Amino acid sequence: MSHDYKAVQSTPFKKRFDLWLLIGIALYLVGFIAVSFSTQPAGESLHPVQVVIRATGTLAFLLLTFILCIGPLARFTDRFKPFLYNRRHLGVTTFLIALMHAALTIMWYHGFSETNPLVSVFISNPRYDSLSGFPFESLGFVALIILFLMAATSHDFWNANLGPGLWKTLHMGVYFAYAALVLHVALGAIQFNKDPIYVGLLAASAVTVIGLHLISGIAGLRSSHRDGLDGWLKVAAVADMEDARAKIIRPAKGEAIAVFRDGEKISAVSNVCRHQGGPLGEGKIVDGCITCPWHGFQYRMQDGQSPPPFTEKIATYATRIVDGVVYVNPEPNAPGTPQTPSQIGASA
Amino acid sequence: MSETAAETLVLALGIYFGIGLLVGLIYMLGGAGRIDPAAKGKGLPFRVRLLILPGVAGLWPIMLTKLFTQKEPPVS
Ligand code: HEM
Ligand code: FES
Repeated sequence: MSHDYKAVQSTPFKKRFDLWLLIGIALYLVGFIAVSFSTQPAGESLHPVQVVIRATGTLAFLLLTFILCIGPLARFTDRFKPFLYNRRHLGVTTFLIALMHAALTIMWYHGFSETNPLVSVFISNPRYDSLSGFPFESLGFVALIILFLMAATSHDFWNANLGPGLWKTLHMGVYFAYAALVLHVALGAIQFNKDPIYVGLLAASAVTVIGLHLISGIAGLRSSHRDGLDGWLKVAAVADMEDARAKIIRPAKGEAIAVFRDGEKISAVSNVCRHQGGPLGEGKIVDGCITCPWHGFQYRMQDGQSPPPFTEKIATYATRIVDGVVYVNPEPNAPGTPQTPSQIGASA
Repeated sequence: MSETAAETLVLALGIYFGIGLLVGLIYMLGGAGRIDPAAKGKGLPFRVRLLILPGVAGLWPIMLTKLFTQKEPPVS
């Protein structure tokens, strides 16, 4: 449990993840370029720079689409959890590829005139004037700035020092950026290049992102109206609680609650890690302690206190088991308050 | 957008990020440790100092305020 800041938190899994990410990116770019040239109609002469502009633009857009789908998908299946934990690297990579797209565009379409290339981006691109008067490049620019701010504040230092509220608000900007990008492509590239593949990809991406969020939002609403018992919230049937893992419950007000099973015992604590707000309920029980998935801070199940010499404390919650179903009292105990776990099999 | 408007915008962006880089340098040279004890001295290796520079440059109005108001990281 070190407090030191590291450049990149690395594990063998993350290294492998990053390697596959790089391989995937390389394959996409090479594939895109190869297909572009081999399917080029006779008489048309694509410049390699133009092809790279398209390859990086579409790749950045597709990566961002995927990133936005991870959240809702991870709610439905554990398969997407690894992506959830590695979203940071995906996000920073997406920004860098988008930056390449933007830099090449600015050099290629705006770099050869008298005007400052950046100024020329905002005046709108003379090459597209006849096709669409809309300043679609400004939309791309706005999105790029948002992606930059998110990539630049993805390190733990920011998570800690902006505070979870502000950090989260900033990173919700990604939805605004995505909307701007959909318009960037719809009003820009597609006006100019009415390739059905572009139109289809754009529509499919936008529909997938919106659809998944709607479905997961509706599922979330349902579970927030979950059945209760005298004001206690239903968690799950004992049989559905995996050992050493938690179910996360979001009460109508207050912090989310992580309800853990450790062997035959059930305990509940706040879902929010004292270190930097990591989601404790996505962690595991290691050596009898709840272990944060982000940097490994630990808390004892029975009282929400970090084992000595550490002094962090989180709120605990009362639990009970009725007819094989676990319930949690949504009223938190003061951080560090001992709370007897519910015993599976004992009558309530 | 008219050419004058575009020129003003680009100039404003340049000034904004210029000031941001200066505030970022203050952070690299010890400002970070002032708002976050864990980021003092060796707690924040040079690589990480470089890594936080662009963020400070982008969010400098917030980060400049924190330099005077924040003693340790806010916890939820
Ligand atoms: C300063 C910022 C940006 C500028 C000036 C810009 C400019 C352009 C231009 C001129 C095109 C048409 C290229 C062509 O068809 O030859 C284009 C297309 C495209 N852009 Fe951007 N863009 C910017 C940012 C972004 C960002 C941040 C993304 C995504 C993350 C993006 C994604 C795309 C996509 C998917 C296309 C369609 C594919 C293509 O034809 O290249 N752009 N952009
Ligand atoms: S250990 Fe860092 S957020 Fe939990």
